[in-house]
Amino acid sequence: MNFKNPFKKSFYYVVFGCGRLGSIIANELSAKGHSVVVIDRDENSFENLSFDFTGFTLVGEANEIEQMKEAKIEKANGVFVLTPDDNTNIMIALTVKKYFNVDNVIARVYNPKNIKTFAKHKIEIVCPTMLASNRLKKFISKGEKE
Amino acid sequence: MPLIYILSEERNVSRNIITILEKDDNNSIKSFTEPDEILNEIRNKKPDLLFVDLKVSKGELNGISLLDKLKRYDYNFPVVVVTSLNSIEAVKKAFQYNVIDYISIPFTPDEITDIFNKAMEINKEPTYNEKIKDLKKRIEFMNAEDNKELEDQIKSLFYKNPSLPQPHYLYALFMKNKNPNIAIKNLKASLALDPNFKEARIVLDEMENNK
Repeated sequence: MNFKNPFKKSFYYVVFGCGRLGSIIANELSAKGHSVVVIDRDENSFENLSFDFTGFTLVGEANEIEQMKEAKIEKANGVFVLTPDDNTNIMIALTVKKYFNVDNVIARVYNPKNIKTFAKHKIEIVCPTMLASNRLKKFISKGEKE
Repeated sequence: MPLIYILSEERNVSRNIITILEKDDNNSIKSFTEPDEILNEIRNKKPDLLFVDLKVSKGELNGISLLDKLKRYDYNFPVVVVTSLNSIEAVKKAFQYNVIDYISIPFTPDEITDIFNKAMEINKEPTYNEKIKDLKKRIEFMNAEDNKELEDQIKSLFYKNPSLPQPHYLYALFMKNKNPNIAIKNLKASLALDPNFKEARIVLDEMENNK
């Protein structure tokens, strides 16, 4: 008997940063039955995780190679880079992609000026500032049409 | 239907293993937090695979002493130890008790399913004790033709179980008449691994008295 059914398979995800966004994503992955590891330098941040969260937590500097090795990041099916700092995020995302050869990496970018840097290295991003501004621009256009 | 037991105080360890292995509806999985509790369950029904978190220390037993009890009671189902990365010494100790593998926390779903598949393969094979018994009988009645095949089979036991005393003992029986010195050396190695291994002691005493 082998576990080869792709529709039933659990995946392995690593989430960097356990703030508001990181904890929501980690809870969601865990609720879907995947294995999750969350890394954050502040142990108290894990209190953001729900009671039902069944993943693993690691305390430490997210951008340290040893920490990434401990998280078995090379085996990850996907990595979410969600610390509150753009520079840290680019460093983590690059290390994960280039050093550990993980393709499926997505990072949060606060400052839209940094988007190009991530794009240059083909790192998928989510930029809350851009998402909000696009939504607000649509709201302005809608007002102008009326 | 494979029966799997998990011993861990950490909710996330047992829940993760359950989530991964329950995806196959054929599996029946039970989790425990106390070694005494799981030992009682094993006495009632032996599992096809047991995960033991070495950190467990509730009640009178801990992870290692549970493994020791299982070995002494001669239970022969596959056991996997679960441990954090910084407990290499504990893992080394655990391997003296015939565990088939270990996984470090955090673990991936593939690591768990690979271990499960490995354990199910092992369950299909004759047990270690059955193999030993069979080889011992064949050494007793061996003839010149199957010498080579027997030697290969004993050697493969060495590779699979380097820390167990039985392969040394069997090799000693195999070499007893051909090369007594090598036989004595292997009997001593066997006793170094398990000083209470009576059969090896008897053969060694016999050979040394005949010297």
